[in-house]
Amino acid sequence: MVSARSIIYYATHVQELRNIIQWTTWHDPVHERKPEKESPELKECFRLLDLTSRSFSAVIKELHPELLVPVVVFYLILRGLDTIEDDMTVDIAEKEPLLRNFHAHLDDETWTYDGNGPNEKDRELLVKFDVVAKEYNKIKSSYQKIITDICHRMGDGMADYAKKGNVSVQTIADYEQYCHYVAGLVGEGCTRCFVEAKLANPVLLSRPELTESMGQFLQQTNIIRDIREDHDDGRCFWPKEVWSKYVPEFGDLFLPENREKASHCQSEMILIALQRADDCLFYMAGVKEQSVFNFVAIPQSMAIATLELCFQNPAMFERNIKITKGAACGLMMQSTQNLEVVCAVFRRYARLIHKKNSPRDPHFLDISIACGKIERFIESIFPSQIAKSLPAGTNANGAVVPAVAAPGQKALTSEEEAKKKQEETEAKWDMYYMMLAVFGTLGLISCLMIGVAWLAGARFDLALSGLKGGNFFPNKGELPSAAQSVASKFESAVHSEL
Amino acid sequence: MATSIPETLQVLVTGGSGFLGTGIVSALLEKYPKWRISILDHRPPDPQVANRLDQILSADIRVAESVHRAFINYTPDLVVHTAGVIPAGTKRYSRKEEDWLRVKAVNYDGTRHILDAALASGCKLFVYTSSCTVVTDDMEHDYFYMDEKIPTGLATLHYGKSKGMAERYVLSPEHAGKGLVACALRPCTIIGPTDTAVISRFHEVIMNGETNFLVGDGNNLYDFMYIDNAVLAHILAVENLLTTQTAAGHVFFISNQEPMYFWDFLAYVWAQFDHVPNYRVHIPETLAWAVASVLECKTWLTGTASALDRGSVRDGARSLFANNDKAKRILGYEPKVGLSEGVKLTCMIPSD
Repeated sequence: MVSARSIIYYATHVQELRNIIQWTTWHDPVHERKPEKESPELKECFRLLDLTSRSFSAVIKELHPELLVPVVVFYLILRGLDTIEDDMTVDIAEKEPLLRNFHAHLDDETWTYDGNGPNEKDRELLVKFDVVAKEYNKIKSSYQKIITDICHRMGDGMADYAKKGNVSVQTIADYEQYCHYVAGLVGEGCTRCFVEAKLANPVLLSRPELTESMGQFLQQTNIIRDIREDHDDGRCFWPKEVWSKYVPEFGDLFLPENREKASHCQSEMILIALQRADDCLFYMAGVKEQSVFNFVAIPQSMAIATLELCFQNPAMFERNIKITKGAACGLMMQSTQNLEVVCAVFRRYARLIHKKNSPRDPHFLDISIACGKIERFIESIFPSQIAKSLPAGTNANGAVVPAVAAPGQKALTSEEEAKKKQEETEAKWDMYYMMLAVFGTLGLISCLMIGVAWLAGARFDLALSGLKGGNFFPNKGELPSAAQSVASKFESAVHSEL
Repeated sequence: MATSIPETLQVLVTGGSGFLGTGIVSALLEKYPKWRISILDHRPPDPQVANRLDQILSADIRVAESVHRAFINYTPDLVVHTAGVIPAGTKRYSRKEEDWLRVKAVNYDGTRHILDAALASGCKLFVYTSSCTVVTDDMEHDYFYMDEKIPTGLATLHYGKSKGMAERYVLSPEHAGKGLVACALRPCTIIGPTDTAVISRFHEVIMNGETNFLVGDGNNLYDFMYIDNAVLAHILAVENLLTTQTAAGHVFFISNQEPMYFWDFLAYVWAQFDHVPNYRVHIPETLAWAVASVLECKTWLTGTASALDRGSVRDGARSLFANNDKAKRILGYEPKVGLSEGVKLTCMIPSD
């Protein structure tokens, strides 16, 4: 499983290794499935979910119980549509009515479809679609209505696109319309379900552009990153309006001599997506429940990290590039807390993009402005303190207790005893060797323990700042009066500084 | 109190020959052709608007008597006071008394003289072009998304200090008691094709071969605004005072609402002159500050001009950008030219 390459990678990227360990050891699902109460059909749906979804399955399964089944069903239905749309072996004469009428089959608990080509990886989903329909018919009618509506509109959109014979996307408007059908509508359906479940602010329904941006941001990022894979499969979603500015034929983007032109084209595509980022943060501010927040935030964080990975990266035209598992685990941890942490992720990646941005790029200015827009939005909801925290040195209470003081003192006394007993130099040297051994062992063990704690997510930065702040004792119960007076002194110092 | 915009009006634009003033005059002539627009300036007006002006008043606003004379046979209905002096280059950080007196004479005394003369002539409506520096020239802080709640009076640099004094004078309750209806706008750095001050200063950096260095982490955000948007905000302020007067007594930060990385702005301007630094070295702010302090001591001892001073180090590493919600809410201000386009338009002229 673990390749030599990844061992070397994580040995040199310890932070990422730490992320993987932390995520796998500490992450508790917000809500857990209760398989013992699930019907056999629902169990089968979960199996199909794992089969068809690479990235969404885990977050979906942690959703709030109210939303769990509707979202699973919603996902599988849309996946079913997608499987028909993607399959190039299905003739358009058969495909078009199939897409347009897909929503009508949902009430029919016996409908299945086995016309997909044998190589279609999600073929099984449609062959066993009756289990999905059975579960669909058990959920609340308000959710059914939303799902049918989205399924209907998406099916029509896909059919229109397929009827055009999958000609390459012409204008930016076409491109955004395509993204609307395959992702924007999903966003709309999800938002309506969240609001229906009272787990998101109903205001989101009156700001459809925010929902749209959520879908567009994800879909555009995928389209940008997958350019090579799609091209090899004979597909192209990049709008001609953009790439034709740089090369006469789409395939020319992959030629080594066009590397610079391809990079400029890439920046323009990234710019179009990046301009949606602040809307996405705004949307996430409207989510009220933790599991729903995680569900929407994880893909968004992954998307901005992916955009940063793609930006100014010529490898994107040569192979499929991906963020590393370690980075992904870190992003998942940061996306399952709160909006402020997610904002910090967005700010971090905006600055990384800003750092890579080059004045030689024709989109330099606009990309800089787009990154500034993200920063400004974050500042508007989470203002930075104007009065910075106390500068170093002004802390009157600077005595930091070294963590290894106690064993050190013990060793010192034994050293004194030893000095008294034996004054010969040879014995002295023995002592030194012993001390070295003792301290070495202690040090090694300390390092190992601290290292393990750090890998598991211990926050030494918080502990240290706590010590600096005079909190020498655990916060439980009453503070000893001396510590209290120190603490209050420190507090008053902070206030006067403010 | 008028509720609709009057057909005819006498408007005086001080500093009407300047960068912003010319823009305001043209916009007013365009939008309200029946209004009689006059300017007060010590420079001749822009030839494109000169023959459409009602009166061209010449006065030295530093001298009360001179201003008073200009108003003897003239009573405007409304004054837009844009006249002022911006200390250029390293003068911005000057701490010399004589420099302060020069700046104060124009920005503070000049405003007093204009306002007093206008009031004395019977004019009750007054739009004052203040500056965001009334806040940001207190160099101690960064200003992230600042709004109008931040107190003024702490600015240490001559420009912001003098503009702040003038702003408080214009909006003092004493004048409101006399019937004055006034508001103040605080634009950030304004750029535009006809202004050469900002761009030429950035161009100087290429000449000095200093483009490889930047102070701080390069993540600091700055507000810039395109001239048309600054003009628009002034027109909206004029219209507000003529109609609902909800802006009376208020100050408004105005910008393009698109803060951008300060050093990117410079890099973009340089790129317009075909200059792209091959490498860039980040100098920690504290180090630059220390070097600047040493250089300033040398300057103080030898009396020569310093290449680097602590003020410009702070300016290069600070974030300052404003929240325009108040201007949007009360004036209905919304920038109409995007910053990207504005910067491109601004840089087009010198590269021709």
